[in-house]
Amino acid sequence: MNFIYTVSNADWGHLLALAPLVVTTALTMLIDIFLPAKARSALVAVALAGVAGSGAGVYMLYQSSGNVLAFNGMITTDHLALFGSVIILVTTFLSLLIAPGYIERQGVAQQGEYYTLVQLAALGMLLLTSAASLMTIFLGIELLSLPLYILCAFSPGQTKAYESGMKYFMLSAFASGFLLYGMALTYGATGTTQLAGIQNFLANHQFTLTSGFGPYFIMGMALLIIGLSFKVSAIPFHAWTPDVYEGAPTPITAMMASGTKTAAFVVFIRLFTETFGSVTAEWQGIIWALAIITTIGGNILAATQTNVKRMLAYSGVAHAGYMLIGVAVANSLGTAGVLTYLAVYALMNTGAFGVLSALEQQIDTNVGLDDLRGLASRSPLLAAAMAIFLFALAGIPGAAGFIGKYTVFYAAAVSGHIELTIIGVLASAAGFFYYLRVIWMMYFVPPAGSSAESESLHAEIISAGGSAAAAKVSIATAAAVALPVGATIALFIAAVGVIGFGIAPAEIIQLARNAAGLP
Amino acid sequence: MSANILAFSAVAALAIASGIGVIAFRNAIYSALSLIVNLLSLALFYLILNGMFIAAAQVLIYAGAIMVLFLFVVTMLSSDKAELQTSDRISWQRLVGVIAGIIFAAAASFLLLVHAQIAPDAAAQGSNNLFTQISAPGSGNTEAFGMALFHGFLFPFEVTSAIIVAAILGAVVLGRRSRAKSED
Repeated sequence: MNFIYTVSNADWGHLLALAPLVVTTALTMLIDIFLPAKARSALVAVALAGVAGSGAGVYMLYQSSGNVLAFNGMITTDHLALFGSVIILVTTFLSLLIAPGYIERQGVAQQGEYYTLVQLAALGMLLLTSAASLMTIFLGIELLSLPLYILCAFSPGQTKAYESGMKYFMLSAFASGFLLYGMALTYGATGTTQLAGIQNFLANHQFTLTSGFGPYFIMGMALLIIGLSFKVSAIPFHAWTPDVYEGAPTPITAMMASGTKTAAFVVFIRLFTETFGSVTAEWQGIIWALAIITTIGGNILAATQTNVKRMLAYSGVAHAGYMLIGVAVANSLGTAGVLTYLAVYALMNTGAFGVLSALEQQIDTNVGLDDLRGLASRSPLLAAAMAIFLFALAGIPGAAGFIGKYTVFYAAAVSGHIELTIIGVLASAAGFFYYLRVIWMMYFVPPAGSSAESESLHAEIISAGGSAAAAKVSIATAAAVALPVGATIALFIAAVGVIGFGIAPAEIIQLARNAAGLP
Repeated sequence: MSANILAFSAVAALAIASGIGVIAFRNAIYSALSLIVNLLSLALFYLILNGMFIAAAQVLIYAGAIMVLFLFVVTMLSSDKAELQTSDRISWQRLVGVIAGIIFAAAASFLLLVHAQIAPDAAAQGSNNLFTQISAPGSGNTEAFGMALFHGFLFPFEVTSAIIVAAILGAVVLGRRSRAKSED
């Protein structure tokens, strides 16, 4: 470990992906002061510009070649980091597009703080994907978690929101403790916090569970697994997921579900598949077991939900299980599978939560299964978008989700873990049930109450002439769901992406393979 | 048994006892005071490790500034005793937690205290390894600490400022909201 290191000019160039967001975060706070309260929704443009600028930075780093490590081995800008960064930036971009209509409906006055915190959380996720040292990993996790605790509790006056923020804070702080203890023991065993140094140390030293530095190191690894499994919400560390996802503002849930998962899985890959790659036998069994429990348990729990947001939360647990299969095979092929999965998951999951946030603008409570009855006849486009995302999440060929599952299961099969492939395929077949149930509700179940009754109610609303009155009416009797412009664009992008990657997956698979170091 | 180990054992016992005190006392003031003892014993650990600067910082910042804030908050808020005495809904949880905790502590201390030997392996790595670096004279002084903070660890040091911004924003958001609520 190098304690005395002179920062060179070349180091700063590696911040191209982070710097634009840092600048716009500061700008958002500054401009917020001078804007009148009604114009504050314009701040979303600043945040979007920051995300776009970071995207351009990622592209420039992708074009450049040479040393990927910077700042004394604290961060790296290798292809794995850049691939993860793109996924996070896309998720943040979509989440920001959905946000303005949603948070105005929720009565959020502090929009400047909202957009600042979203950008800070995105920064934490980006930092996590490019972390090359235990130190930066921990700081990245804290930088993404802290804004998210606050954002979860952002909807004013809602007990569920406070519960969400508090629960996430307490449990996440507890999990951070495990992570930090794991890092301390790993540092104690190997003498360095830099991942490259740890990898080098492990390649040159023998150890067993009961001799030398082995006890420290193996306990450190176990604690690291616990800390990271919490972040990807793997069973049995998933208990926070449904409550937190349910109470958080839906755009934040979308960002949390895909962004945090992407960042945490990139760390999983970097730490375990890469850094601990020479001692695979010591950890593979644990991840293997976690993958199986999470895959099966997530699907079973999701099938029992009637609240759509909680259902998606548990389905997120199940998807974490599929991705863990890619980590458990412990080779580059598995890594490529996880990365492909993360890319398509970001699109389909953010899309599904985007539809939910549009529906929630009409009803006060969370969307239940019953609220979706007959959605296809009221809002055919919205229902079609939801159907696309759900088909993709279920993994039906033709939509992008299938590509993610295929690459992960293929990696497991050719790496000699056919049992993981079989369990994964069976579990996703069982998962069809709860995804298709929602589609069934939207397309084949008529809305509650007779159609004549709802029409007369509808006429009354129109004669009353108040949009406020229309918003109060339950979704079953309301006519069409009004979609704000931003949400429309976001859903369009997500739907096109899901179908596009579903039909022509070669590009994304190739990029993921490159990021995993495969030809 | 050398003086070093004796000193360590005494401080370790103090740290564990005060740590248990933090969670075991029913009165929040006693818990806060135990936390001060715990933080001070950590400062003693740093002194044993020759970390003069970090020991001083620990006393000044944690045991001093932060704990005073803690005590203020505790004294201002501690009136609602009924709220603290809600019973657990899941009664078996506490028992399972205690058993699992004992198993974990036993397994960890068995492995770490009985089987792990860091020293011989570290010596084999030559003079360039961490253990010789950090135990070298002067490695824990303020100058060395500053060099590490502003050179080797410059990047993480800068990142913490972003985390602090997030924390301040959180205080603004949640604090302003509760004030708006009470004005209603």
